[in-house]
Amino acid sequence: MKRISGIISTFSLIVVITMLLSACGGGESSSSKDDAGITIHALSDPENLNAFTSSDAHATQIKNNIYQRLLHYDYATMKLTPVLAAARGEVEVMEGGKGMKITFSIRPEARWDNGEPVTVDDVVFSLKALKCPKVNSDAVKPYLEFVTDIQTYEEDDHKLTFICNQVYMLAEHVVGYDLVILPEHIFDPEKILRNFEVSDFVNPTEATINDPKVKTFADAFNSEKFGRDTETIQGSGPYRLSKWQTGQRIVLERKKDWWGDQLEAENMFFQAYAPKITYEVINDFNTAITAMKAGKLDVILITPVKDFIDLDESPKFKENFYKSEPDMLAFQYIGLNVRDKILSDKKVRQALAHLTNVDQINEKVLYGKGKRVIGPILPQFKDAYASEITPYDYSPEKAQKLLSEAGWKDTDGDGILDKVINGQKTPLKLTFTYNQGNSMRETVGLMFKEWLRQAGIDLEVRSMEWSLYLGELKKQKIQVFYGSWVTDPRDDDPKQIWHTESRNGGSNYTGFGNAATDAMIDKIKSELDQEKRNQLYHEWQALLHDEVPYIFLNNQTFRNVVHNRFENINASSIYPGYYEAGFKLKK
Amino acid sequence: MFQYIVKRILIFIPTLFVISLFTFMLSVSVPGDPVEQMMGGGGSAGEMGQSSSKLASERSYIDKRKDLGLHLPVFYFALSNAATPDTLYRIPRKQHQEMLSDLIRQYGNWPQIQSYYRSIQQLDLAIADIPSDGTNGDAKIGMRDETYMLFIHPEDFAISGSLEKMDVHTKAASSMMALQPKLQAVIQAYSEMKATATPRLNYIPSVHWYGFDSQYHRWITRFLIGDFGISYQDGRPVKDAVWLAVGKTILISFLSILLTYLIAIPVGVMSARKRDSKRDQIVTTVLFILYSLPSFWVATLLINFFGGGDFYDWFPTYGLGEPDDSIWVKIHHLILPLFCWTYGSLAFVSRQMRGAMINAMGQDYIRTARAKGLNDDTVIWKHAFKNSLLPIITLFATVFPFAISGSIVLEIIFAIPGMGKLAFEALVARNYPIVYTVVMFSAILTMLGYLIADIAYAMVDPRISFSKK
Repeated sequence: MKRISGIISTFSLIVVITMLLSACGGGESSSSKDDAGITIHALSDPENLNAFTSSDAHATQIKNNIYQRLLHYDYATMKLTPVLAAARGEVEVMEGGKGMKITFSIRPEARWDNGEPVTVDDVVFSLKALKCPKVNSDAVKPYLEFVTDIQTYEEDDHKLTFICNQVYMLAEHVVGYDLVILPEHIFDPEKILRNFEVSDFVNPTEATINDPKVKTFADAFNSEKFGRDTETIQGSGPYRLSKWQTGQRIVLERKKDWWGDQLEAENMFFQAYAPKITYEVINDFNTAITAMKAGKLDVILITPVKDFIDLDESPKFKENFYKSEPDMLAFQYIGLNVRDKILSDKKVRQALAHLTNVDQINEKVLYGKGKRVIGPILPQFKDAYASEITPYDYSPEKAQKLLSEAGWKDTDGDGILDKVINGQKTPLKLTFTYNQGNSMRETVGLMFKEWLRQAGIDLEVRSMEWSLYLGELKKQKIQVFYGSWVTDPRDDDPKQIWHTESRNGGSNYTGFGNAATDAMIDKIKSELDQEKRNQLYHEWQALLHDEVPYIFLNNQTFRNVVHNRFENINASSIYPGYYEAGFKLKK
Repeated sequence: MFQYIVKRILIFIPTLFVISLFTFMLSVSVPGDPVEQMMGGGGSAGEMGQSSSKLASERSYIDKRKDLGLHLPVFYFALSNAATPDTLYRIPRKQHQEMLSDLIRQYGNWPQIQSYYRSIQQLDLAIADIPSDGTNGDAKIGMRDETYMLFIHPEDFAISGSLEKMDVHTKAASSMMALQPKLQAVIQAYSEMKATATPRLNYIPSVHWYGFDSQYHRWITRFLIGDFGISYQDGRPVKDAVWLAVGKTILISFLSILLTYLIAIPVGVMSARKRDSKRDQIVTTVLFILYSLPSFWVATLLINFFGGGDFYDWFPTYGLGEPDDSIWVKIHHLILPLFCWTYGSLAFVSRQMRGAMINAMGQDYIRTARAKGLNDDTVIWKHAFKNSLLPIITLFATVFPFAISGSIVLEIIFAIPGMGKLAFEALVARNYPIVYTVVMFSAILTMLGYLIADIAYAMVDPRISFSKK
């Protein structure tokens, strides 16, 4: 007996000792009031930190502190602001509207870490690297396809002109923002890509694709070395990657003598104050929120609405943190397949819109945090946003009227409307699909089912595994679905979602469009004048409102929590809703 | 004994082979196209670019497929039927492959099916070449839609419906008439396919031999020499990813098993000695209550109460500390996760121990030992205990593989980048190189676990012997 209790008491002794240790040790990484370093919560590791091969939002957030672009979006105004470029691009339309030229000058002050200036060669290299066959840049490559060449100037090695083969409203945005500028001497020390012209990579021939030099470069560029290595990942931005512990944390260190410091007054992208930024990976929100309250995280973007609201009850939260809730650039919607036998009738779609109680969705599912949207153009774009449109109100009467106008009646008295289509009696039965595991979408589906039931429409709610769901959406095999889009801080290019070229395997899941709407999209895309384009956007929103391929629901806000020792967070609609480099200690 | 071990290890080989086959075949038959998934969540390439991008995106699809080795036949040979050609795997798009196999099931005449498929491809390319001129917009869109339908729909009514609509579209504008010959070719190929149908070929079995240049062969031979491939998600070698994760999981599992046995065995023995006493009842009840509490819930509660939220700041709640932290800091990080990993198995192991002990104590040799006048402790620990270890060893064999595969839920809650998390994230992302490796290692360890258990049996109980006498 003695022996056993001996073992047990030894064990409990260990427990007691460690408890004591913990009591006197205190939080080993708690941030104190005067610590200017920032610790930011991350739900997971980014795929990698390669400038072109990773495209997830989290990777982009981190990369924004390491690499720079010619232009960036100002977080407050969402207008393009010069970063590596000395000024916005000079846009010139070529004769006959065959294409356009955009000219930039690189800031003479701009330097790489070795003190060498950022030159036109680096820009040309970056464009080639992005366009190079076999480089895994499939997420950005298509956006720059219309850029066919770069013109350089003998007399000025800081001036360059992008040549584009079409007139595109977002051309300056694409070359200025989507193209990240990389140091050639780090990413291509052997200057392999100098063997090629930009034009070689525009519709590359088999010979170019199979060129061993292309393979050598692409293999190196795609490799871990340029995706995770602290030695080689470097750009002209204010921070360097100093540590990446897989699945745990990524640490960025502020450069001591960064070239941008002399331009501090220029704009927000030259105001980098935080000496150190740590991205701490915690997969579970509950754990992360507890860690935040314990003072181990300074910034956290909280997705679950309920958790965010409940914070108000926590004394520790109130003592040390504040909330920042800028509007997001995103919207949620219920998609309707306009090529479906039943849903191809506009009146039916409008009736469904009248049967959707968006206010109730907002109240029950988003705890009142949602903001109703009327179309794909978000209210942040004040002049393009069609505020004159009144959204469909929840009105079973109007819906009933539209349905009977469309010929739907309950002839057999089974409580479900029916109609003869192509000589066949068809009951008004629809299927709502959402991706498995998304309980918010499921709730909306069940609410929708109830509203439709009252109007005599039978809605089946089912879930599908994510990649299967995506596949079926692309084949337009889904009748009614729940979706959401995140947009960029630039004028909306409607082609991706609404053009007929984007259906049959693309993102036009509803099958919307005809020659007339395609023409309208093309007109918007090639209209360079902002005023005129805004006018077109108004018409475009009116059209979508009338056609109802989507029942537009809500926009949400970022739900950020920030430690109250910081100010100057640049709260913004741009993901993730703040600019961490600019964080400053309150005086 | 030695002979026995060698024999057992030899049996491993076919078992592993079968397991590897199963994992591989399952991964091939799940829905979803890994190539599309890798290309930015599903081939957005085609929709953003300009007119010339149709071929370009097709080409980069084929390129990537080749890079991943997915252009090869799946296995050394295929058990199939006389209707299915041995070259179907060469069709790049998975959707098209599915449509074609369906046609084969219906009609069974591959040469005609193939020329039907080719005629659609020809038509598809021809549509892209028709210039838009203001009169043919809708007709062109219609043609594109219907071609797409032909590519994915093998049903007779769908095909004839599409062909009818296409006929209307080509006649809708003068510029569209250029497509008539191509359309007629499709119609011709289609009717020929139907006319010469030989569905009976589907019932004649056949074996296609592909040889060693197959996906499976490539994977398994590389696996055997220790090349586990490259992770699809982040381009890291799988070996590095697994190596990083496995250390953390083994550390926790090992400590957890150790703790379980250190606590549960004495508790079990004690319960057996004082069978049905107050003490036994209390301990049993407490352990069963613990056993029935789900670990994710306990973990969340512990984090909320002791993790420095609004209650006590006693323990760090995530991660395992920095590599250069002192041992005490590391132990400090380990306490909560270890508790959650361990408490559930306490009841199980101690009950097993108690049962075995009670059984042993009822045996004649215990009575003999007592009769000899040995003291109580010696009787219990030297005689009864040793003989009641067998079930505990069996348990160990089953625990072993879990030590490697980790606990998905707990690793996520405590943000420990171990094997459970790695495998889970890889599964969700269809990151097969990592999934295969984790499954194979779990399989190997399961078998090793049983082997070790068998050897341990022989060690604690000399009556068990695997050598032939």
